[in-house]
Amino acid sequence: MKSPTDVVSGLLLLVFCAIGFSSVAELPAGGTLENIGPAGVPKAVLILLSFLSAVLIVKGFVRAPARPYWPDRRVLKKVGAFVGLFFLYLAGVIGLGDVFAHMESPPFAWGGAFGVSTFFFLCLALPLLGRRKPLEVFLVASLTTVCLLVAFGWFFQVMLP
Amino acid sequence: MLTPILDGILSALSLNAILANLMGVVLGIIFGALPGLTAAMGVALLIPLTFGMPSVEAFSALLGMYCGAIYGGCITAILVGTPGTVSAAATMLEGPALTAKGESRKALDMATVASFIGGIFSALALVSVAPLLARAAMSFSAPEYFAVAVFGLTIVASLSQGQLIKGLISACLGLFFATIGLDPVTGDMRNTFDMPDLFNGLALVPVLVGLFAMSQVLNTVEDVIRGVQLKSGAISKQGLTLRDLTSNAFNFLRSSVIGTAIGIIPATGVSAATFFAYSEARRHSKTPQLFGKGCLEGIAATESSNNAVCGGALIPLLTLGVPGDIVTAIMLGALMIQGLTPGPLLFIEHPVTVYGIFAAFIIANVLMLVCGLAAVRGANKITAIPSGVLMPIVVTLCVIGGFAVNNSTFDLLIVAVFGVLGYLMLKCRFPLPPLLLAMILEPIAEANFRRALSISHNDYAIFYTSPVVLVMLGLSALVLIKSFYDEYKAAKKAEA
Repeated sequence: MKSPTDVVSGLLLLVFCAIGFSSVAELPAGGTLENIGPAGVPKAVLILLSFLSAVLIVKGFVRAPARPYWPDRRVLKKVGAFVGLFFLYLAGVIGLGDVFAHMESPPFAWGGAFGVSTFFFLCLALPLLGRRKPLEVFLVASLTTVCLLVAFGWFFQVMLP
Repeated sequence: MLTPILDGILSALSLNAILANLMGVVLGIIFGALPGLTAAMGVALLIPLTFGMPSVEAFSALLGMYCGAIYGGCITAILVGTPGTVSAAATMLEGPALTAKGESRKALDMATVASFIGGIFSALALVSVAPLLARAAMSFSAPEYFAVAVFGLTIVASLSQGQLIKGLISACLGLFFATIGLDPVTGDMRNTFDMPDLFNGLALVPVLVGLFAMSQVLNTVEDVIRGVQLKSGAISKQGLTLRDLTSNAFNFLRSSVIGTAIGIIPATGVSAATFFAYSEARRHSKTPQLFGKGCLEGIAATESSNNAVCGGALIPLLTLGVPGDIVTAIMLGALMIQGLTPGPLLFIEHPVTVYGIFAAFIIANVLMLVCGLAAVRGANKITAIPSGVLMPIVVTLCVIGGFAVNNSTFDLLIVAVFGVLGYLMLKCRFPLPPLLLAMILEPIAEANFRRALSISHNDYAIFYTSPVVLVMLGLSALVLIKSFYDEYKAAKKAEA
């Protein structure tokens, strides 16, 4: 196996195709006015995708990539931590939003869940990306949060999560 | 006839539209100048904010962002030696050398003026060619629209240079994702896995934000962790002279023509335009030996051609609904979000909006010139903003952008899923633009394909009796065959 990444991506794509086929199998094959029903195009796409995935797997066994696909483990771990932090941020926005929505008198009139989650996300994300001075982190996090709330919530009148 | 033109111009000249345009241009220059932020990312993040605006104001902001970002890429290319955007890659052939010679200000001024000339030339082409092309396309029916959408899909070939198989896989994924939701003809639910949030299909904006903003953030985070730092050159005092401009008059014109023509043809790309214009400038230069050593003619050629691509790429977008490059593919989504269907009928049903878009594009170029010349003195400060601070802030913008259109927390999950998917695809070298392009064009292609078959009572002859359909499908096949041949040749060369 000369390119494990290509082989694994090809296999994952084949799994995706299998799930797709199982979903499409329940659809009617043809309509009243046409031979090609709702299942026609998705099925054709999945057949093509399966074929291309098989080609990718074969290529992965035959040809090595010109340069490595992935960064070193240390970098990848930190990117993973950043992704984790992003998911925590979303959980905060959605979860806190639910909590505030069910409160009789929430602490903020609007944008509360977004504001609180954004502030904490920035306070954690900035040091993760090498900004270590506590005052800088605090100032960037608080100023950014306030600016976003004012710019989008008040000026652009965008509904914040 | 004149009333919609005047109304369009007036709506683009309204205070709100000009402010939106100005905001787009300024943000665009910043997005273009900062490596890690791209024109596609900027337009994707701006779409949700323009959703509530009237269409001409919305497109003023988006076109401002487009022009500003394509121009802004030259700042980093000249001062740092790293292209801010792909469109500025050719500018690096001369920019860093001019900075090293102490002529950075001259180079930046030339890039600004050249970008303006290229942009205005392509705007004139847009204004004069688009209505004619729209009129010619007026007789199109379902088979022709199907053929146009298929032709648009062949852009996949150019968007996945060197990775054709992966580009096609990416496009197939896009085609499949586009089938999620209601069937366009029968109304059956497809591939929704009984999730009510998927009944209307995947919302385009969160997908855009995830694929082109969030994934790019994660990619740039890698550089931040590795400690990659940019060192910007100083801004020199010597500016551009009138002689520099007059001696490049024909160079500006030639490069603008090249950029506009290449922009009109889908499946080519802005890089092709800049490198072609650069080589033509060198071929026609009286001093070709100076090229590569810091030559203003090179900057004039690359920068006028890359901004000329903008107007060129808008022509097939507005008249046929076929995007010329990835940013216009995102704009195709923006048009649809605004309730506008690109194509010849757009010129009949929404003439004020169309002429407003034309006027907004011209204004964007004028504002780009003004802001660009003003920003040149402090250009090195833009590139000094640390990515470690910027990337978490862009994440918060992704969250706002993903939520803003439908006010749905499910869309935030789509941003996250497509952000991570986009990052993994980038790492495995699957090009992202084909996925988006296929997602946008699939509904047009499928609905018109099935409609054409319904009209012809399932007779496939409908697809080879119309000359337009034949030409379009023939061209699509040729583009694909050529792409496979090029890929095969490149693989053979690499083996040798």
